[in-house]
Amino acid sequence: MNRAVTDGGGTMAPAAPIGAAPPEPRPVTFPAWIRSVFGRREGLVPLIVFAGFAAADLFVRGIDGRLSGNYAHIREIPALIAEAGRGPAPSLLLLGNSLTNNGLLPPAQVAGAPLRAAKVTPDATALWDWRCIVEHQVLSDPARRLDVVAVGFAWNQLSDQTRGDASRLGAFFCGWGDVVRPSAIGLTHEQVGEFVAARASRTYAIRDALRNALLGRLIPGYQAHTQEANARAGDGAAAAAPQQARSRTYGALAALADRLEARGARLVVIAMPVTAAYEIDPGLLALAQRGEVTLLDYRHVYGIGPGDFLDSMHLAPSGREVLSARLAADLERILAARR
Amino acid sequence: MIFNSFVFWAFFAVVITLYWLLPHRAQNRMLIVAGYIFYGAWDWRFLGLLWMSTVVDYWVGRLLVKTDDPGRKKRILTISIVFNLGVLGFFKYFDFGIAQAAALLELFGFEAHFSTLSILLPVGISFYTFQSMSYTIDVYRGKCAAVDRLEDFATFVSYFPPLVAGPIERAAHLMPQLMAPRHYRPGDFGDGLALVLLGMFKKVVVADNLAPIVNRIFSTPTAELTASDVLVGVYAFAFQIYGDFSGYSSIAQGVSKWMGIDLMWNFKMPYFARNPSDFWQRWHISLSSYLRDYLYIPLGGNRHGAFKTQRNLMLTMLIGGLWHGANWTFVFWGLWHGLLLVGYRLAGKDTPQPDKPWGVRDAVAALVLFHFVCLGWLFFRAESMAQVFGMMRQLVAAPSVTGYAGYALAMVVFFAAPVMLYEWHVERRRDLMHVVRGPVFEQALVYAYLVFMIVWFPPLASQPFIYFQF
Repeated sequence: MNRAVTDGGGTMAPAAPIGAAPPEPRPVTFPAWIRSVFGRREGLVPLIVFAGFAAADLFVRGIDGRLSGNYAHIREIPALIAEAGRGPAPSLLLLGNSLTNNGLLPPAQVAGAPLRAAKVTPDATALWDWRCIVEHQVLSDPARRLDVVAVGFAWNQLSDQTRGDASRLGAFFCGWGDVVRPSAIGLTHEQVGEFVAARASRTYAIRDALRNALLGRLIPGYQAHTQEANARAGDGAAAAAPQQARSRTYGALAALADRLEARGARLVVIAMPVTAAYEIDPGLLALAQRGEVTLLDYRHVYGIGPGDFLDSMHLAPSGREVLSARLAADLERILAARR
Repeated sequence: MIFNSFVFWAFFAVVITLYWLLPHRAQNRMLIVAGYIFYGAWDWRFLGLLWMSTVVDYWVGRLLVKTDDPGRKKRILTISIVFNLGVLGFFKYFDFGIAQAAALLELFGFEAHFSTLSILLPVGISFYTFQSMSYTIDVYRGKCAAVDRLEDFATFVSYFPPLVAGPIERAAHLMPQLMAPRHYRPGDFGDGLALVLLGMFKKVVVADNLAPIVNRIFSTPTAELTASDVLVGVYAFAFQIYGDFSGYSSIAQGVSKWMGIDLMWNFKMPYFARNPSDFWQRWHISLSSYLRDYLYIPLGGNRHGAFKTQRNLMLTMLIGGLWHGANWTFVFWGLWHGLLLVGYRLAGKDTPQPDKPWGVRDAVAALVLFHFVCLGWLFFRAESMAQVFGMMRQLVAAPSVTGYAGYALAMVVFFAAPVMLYEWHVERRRDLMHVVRGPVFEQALVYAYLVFMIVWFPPLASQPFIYFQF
């Protein structure tokens, strides 16, 4: 092998002759360092780039509602909940993700009275997102009054072991104060940085949407192959994780139910139907049996068959009609019991 | 604690603040603590190993300077070499050796009932044992003075930026920098920032986005792959491993710059190499120069005729391959590169690359060499030699283009082509830090691109650095 040039200076020219003494560095005080760096190009260029990034971020913050229906929906959440929680009529907050969005419509009226309802179903959300929404949009405002908070879920989306999405929580549903206790919003300490970055930068928070939009246009078959890769990753994770149903806990959900109850609202959890069967965890069943939450088990509803699904998870309008009627009946019963 | 995690940057923010507030001696003590926290974050159980390596080599260094007897010096140095290679051998090759011995016995009809120990490999063990061992060898050779204080040597061994994936620093280069007081040097902030941004881009954007493609192709049964899948899988791995490893080295260099310390360059546009010898002066330079100085030259180098030169080259590359891990695929990877070097030498083309502008012949040579290197990457990435041969067979037997291959190729081009374009520019300018010395507009444009890509295009799932396993 020939001799490799391994100089530290970065040039590819031969190294300086041995014995040539480098100039002796002089000590630099901190103010002098600031002047030295930011009065020079080495500090100026990063400042220009940072200013450009901040401007782009402000721009994205202004238009993110136009990027997708989901972001537009997230923007309207405070107004939706404020509207539902403002009057004397029976009121409902229907929370969930796309399963609930496709599967349920709140009834217009219950027991002859109009129902003030907010349907809040941002995509891909689960327990920690819903907890933050309730915390910041319902419990934080003493004037807001809801009779029922109903949460549509499937699988183990309500368990404490569900992983929080730091970017989504930071950008949309939680506040700066939540970062003090990351475990209370389903995050590990390693995820705090992502939470803070997403809270500070909308460009970072919605990176997946921007990435998918750009690559979807540039790369042939991007969406199909990415979905397949995600499914593989999901299968891999499921195969790697042993059956944990017995060890799943529901402490956060129970605490949320307690706090809602103290405000006069009943927490109802709705097990949504999907094409493949799933079990409800014993921990959640125990919570329902103790009366801490009301469990509506809609996994198998008469009148909903395989033809009433759009795909393996989401109900078609025909299925939604059946399920919504069932919810209306159950709500009537729940509200009557509370009067 | 990996460079592309928020945890590392929070850790580094604390370290760099304390670092510039403390006087020199306290700075070094703080670096030892930081190094042990950094290493212990993976597995605190192996901190003892790092400490043992430090203590043994420190004492070997002290004993070496206390004697002038060449025989005694050699025996003392042997302690260091046996200890370091023994530790490396046990953790890295013990299970492999047992399995191969059992296979050999079974080949001769014996029943072998050996059980392996399922030994957990300490992260970065090959890097810090080699770095620590270089100190004792250099002290033995009189190229480096032995340090008086254990804490000085501990600062050298546990210096955290290159600790788990290099560059493998030499005592003669790093130790004087750690022993002398550091002062802020104008330009260090800018150089460090450029290196960190480029490193983060290579790791987060290039390597981690190509990883799922590589993983998918190399986890598919070979019979189900087409030639296009194999080709794209190998191309993707070529850029993944380059982005991953050179990204780590670049970030290590950058954060060191911010602490006023220069680490050696570990990569210099390797895919623009025009011959095998040129490639090894550009790829993993700290290992190739280490093997050259501590193995190839002691074996005789090119001083004892053509045959022994070829033998020494082959041995050096074989051991270089085995350094990466206990698997026949690494042995064959080393063998393949040894053959390339020997073939190049036999062709009478072992003269240094003339410093002249690129021509068409150079471009063709670089392209051909890139494909030879890619064949080596097939050995390197495959789980077994059966997989290597299976994938090679599909290259000939299944010459069709799949939709997945088209998608994967487009992803490779989207993520890796900008790096290659940038490196082509640097190659022509002959200045590795051209980005901070070129026009301001160009620098701002490059930085903006890097920042937006790092923010917008992180991988769907974060990947560990490939070289941590070595």
